[in-house]
Amino acid sequence: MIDWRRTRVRALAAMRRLGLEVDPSLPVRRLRPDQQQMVEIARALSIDARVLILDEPTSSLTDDEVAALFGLVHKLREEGVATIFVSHRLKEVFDLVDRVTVLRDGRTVAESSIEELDRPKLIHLMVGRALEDIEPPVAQEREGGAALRVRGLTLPGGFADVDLEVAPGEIVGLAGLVGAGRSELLEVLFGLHRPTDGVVQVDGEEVASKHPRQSIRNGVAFVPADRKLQGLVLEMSVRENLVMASTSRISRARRPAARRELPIVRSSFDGMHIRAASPRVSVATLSGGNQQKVVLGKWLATEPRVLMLDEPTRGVDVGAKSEIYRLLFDVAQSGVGILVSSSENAELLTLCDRVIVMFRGRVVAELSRDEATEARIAHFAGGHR
Amino acid sequence: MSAEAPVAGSQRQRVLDHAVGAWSAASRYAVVLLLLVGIFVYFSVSQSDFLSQANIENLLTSSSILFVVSIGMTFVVLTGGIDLSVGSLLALSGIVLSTLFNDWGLGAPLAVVLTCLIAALLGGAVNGVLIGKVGLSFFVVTLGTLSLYRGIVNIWSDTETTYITSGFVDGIGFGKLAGVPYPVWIMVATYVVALVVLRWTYFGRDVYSVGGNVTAARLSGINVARTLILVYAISGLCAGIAGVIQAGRLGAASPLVGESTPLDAAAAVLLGGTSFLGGVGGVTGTAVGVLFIATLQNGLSIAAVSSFWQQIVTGAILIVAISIDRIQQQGGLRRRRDAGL
Repeated sequence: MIDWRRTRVRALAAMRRLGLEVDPSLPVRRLRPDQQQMVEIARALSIDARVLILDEPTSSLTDDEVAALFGLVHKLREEGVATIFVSHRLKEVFDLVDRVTVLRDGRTVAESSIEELDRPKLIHLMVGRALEDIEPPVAQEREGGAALRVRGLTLPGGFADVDLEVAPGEIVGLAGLVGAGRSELLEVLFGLHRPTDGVVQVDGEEVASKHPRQSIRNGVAFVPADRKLQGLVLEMSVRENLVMASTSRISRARRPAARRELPIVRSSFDGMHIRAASPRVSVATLSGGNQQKVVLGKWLATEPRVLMLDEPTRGVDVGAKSEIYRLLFDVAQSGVGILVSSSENAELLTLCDRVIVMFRGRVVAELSRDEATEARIAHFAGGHR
Repeated sequence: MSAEAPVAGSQRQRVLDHAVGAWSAASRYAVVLLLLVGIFVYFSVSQSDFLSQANIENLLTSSSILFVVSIGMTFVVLTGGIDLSVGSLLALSGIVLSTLFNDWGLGAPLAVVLTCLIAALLGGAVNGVLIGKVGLSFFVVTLGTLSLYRGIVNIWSDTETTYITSGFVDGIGFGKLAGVPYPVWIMVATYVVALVVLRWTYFGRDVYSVGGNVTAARLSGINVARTLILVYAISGLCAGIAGVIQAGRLGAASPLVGESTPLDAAAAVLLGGTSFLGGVGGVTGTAVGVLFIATLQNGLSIAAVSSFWQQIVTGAILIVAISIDRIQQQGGLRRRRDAGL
């Protein structure tokens, strides 16, 4: 029999160690993303493990919560518990760990104690070469209205009262912890959910998109965060994936004609250096970076006015990453307004003319390229004023 | 595969992947095709009656009903569903035909066309809308309509067979054109039209996209609800056509027909290599699958093997064929993983 009273006491104790104060009988669905993450960590800690594996545990946590977690890990270390901490947040790596193992392309490339490493050295080991600085093109004077203008947009449970603007040719970043409402905002702008309040304008015209088809017609494109689950039909060929969005308006009784599709395929292959044996191969046979280029190519083929991207370089190797950055600069130069959401603040600093920071569903800061630093973004993203 | 991977190695890997991919597309039904040829040769040699013109004609005509239903079912399975209501819809079509012809006094050709359209409408407007638009599970919906339509058939017909005395309807069951029975013509025509729709229209591509990854399809602007509604309408249309052939063969509308049709059709589609997860397969495989089941049952009947043993053999072969499919898929996944993807 389950002793519910004792279960509750043990749950409370496990949560108290992390400084988490919620009612243990609440369904986890009702908690905030950071609280959900803390519950998961508390559960991992509650079995009195000898080895604790933490895989990117901090992506949705505020600074205070990270500090509480790290304090606990330090205490566990003294008690003799071994911890494996998987992260790409280098600051946390230097704050927390004793030894580092660097993996690249599935192989161990280095093992060393943390004292022997510094930040540039570690980056070099991770990416295989020093990260070249990609120079953003010089910002030009922009005239005319905004490509995208959002006023008072609200989605209960997602975000509230969001204002933002993206000029033609501008790249605007959305920063914030995982669960801050960035993905939900992009999804609403693409017509996947109906907002309860607010106005969206594309090129000065008010739009109220009910579904992606309508958004594509309005000139909005969306590169989703998970290319395998949301971006591509893996069973289909590169060509079929590339033309999928731009042919979605053509009569369904018509024949997929080469004269309509090959130009799109050719310009995608040439413009983005997609490495595939031929457009006929299944898109599943491509590397992560090339798959991401196919998703990007699919959306550029719709000739959007506004291009939105969620985590545009997740799981992409360094070479493809800088190619994608260059491509986005070119797209912006051609007058498209770009809105990028990313968990990697360094990525936003490279790409964006302006960075908008969200915290728990609200816009809390707006930083120009000159004002934005990784530390400053992290400060606002953690809920500080 | 990273950008720095050795070019020669990755090139070879890609050529290999390409070849493997092309082979696995055809090989989805290659095993069943080989088995079909095998049992065909075996029955031809061992049963003197098997290869007679009368028997081959009989084999093809008697398989035509399952064939037409299975072609429609293929569209549904390609989107990742199954239509369990096709058997009841087939029986209902017979009753509708007899009502339109006997009671309403419509001309036979008009009654036949209306019957098929009503079946398509029932498939699309009930199954299709509930699954595609409302978002209910295909299993629940088509299980419901399976029972619903069968009940209507039994009440409407009073569980009695009604005769349809029409030269036109008889002709659909037994007439010949250029020495080939009409049911065989209908089945060939259904196959050709389905093949053209799936391969050479954007709608056909949508069917594969929706089955392959419904989220990606929706995000790419594909009208998922409309695609699903049309797919279930096509399945209903095919059940209606099959119901008309059935009525022609019997010269009557029987409330008893089609009880085992949904499962037979699903078996034929899966045997033909269409993945029940959707997105992969096609009507050519289904054609092979139906002909295999029909040949096996015909040959075993001539050899005087009881129909119970026929069921056992068909079931065992279905499981073996699906296992092979499964192993192939896992192989493909492993190859991908080995390539570092």
